[in-house]
Amino acid sequence: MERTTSKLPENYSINNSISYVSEFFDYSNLTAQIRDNINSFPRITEGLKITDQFNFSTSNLLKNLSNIYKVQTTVAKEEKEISIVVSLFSKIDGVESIYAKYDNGYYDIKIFTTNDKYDAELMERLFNIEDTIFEVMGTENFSFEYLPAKYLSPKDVLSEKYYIIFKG
Amino acid sequence: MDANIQQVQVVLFYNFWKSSNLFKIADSFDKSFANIFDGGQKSVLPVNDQTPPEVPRIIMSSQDGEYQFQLSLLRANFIIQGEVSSKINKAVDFAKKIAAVSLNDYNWSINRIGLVINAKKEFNNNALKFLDKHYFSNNLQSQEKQKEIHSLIEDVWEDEKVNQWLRLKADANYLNIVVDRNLVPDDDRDLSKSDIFQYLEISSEKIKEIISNLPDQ
Repeated sequence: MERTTSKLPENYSINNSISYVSEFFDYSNLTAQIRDNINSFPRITEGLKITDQFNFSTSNLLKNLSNIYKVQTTVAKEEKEISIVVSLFSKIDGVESIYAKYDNGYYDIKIFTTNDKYDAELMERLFNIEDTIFEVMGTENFSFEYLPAKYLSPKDVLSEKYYIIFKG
Repeated sequence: MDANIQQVQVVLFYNFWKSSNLFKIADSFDKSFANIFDGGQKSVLPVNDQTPPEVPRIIMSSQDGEYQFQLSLLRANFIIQGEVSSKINKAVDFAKKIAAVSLNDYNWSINRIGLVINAKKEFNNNALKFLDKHYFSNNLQSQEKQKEIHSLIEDVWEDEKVNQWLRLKADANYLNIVVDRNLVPDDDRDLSKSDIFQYLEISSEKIKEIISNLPDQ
């Protein structure tokens, strides 16, 4: 039986980690900054910025993003991205559950909604988040599909490869 | 004693593994479990890094709830309950699969193992009388509704200290039995796959023997 040096959480770090995140956020040019930050985590310390390009809940969206970036200091890039996705969609009333399948760097995400008929406002909110994610993280790693939970059960329409990542 | 095994829990303790992709990790374990969680609930929880390490990142539960798997940064729990036959042997087999994935696929360090069995025995007469007769020298008070004993034996395995707890709780006609056999914590211990397999096999046999050697009546 071997003995090793303890690897306690306090000592834990990975190569793509940052040690400090600014509390200050200058809300201009957010998209570009987040893109930079995802590509290079240490740049998060420069703060996040935004142009007011979204009509709905922009401040909530930003608040979520900001909070996530503030608290996530040592997680790997892939995990950081999926946690951002969950955080953004899960804050929307009307999202019942989120399932995801991961395959070779690609996330296939199914979002089940509570509406029983087409809800244009809800869809606009969801599409706005989707657009933001695509802008910030690129389109090549994610696909999104919105399904009415009232008519479609995840167990009936999703394969065993999908994991539930949020339930409202 | 021929007691009914209610639940078996096996726990492997890690030296705080770092996460690369929870989905890949979940897929690895799910595949090794040979579809027992298909049709049940399989969850990946993308939490932030301020979430305490003991909070599970992956949770799987079989359709009937008889099998559960929880993976946090510090430990893997595998639980079997309900009407599953040969629970102890099956739990040991699943623990070996967990160890194999943890060590072979991810090179995580495992420093401790625990095996906990919950069993139950029904008595035609009062279970307190059984406990009193064998462990308390026939000193049962008429007002007593429950009675329990906790016994710790310090065992040794490969020069490592093992705590072996036996808990007996009499409640009306039922005797609840818990046997908890675990390596004492040591963050610097690094168990190999053969260490883990050996510990699980020895511990499971010892636990069976402990239950089997309890008096019948």
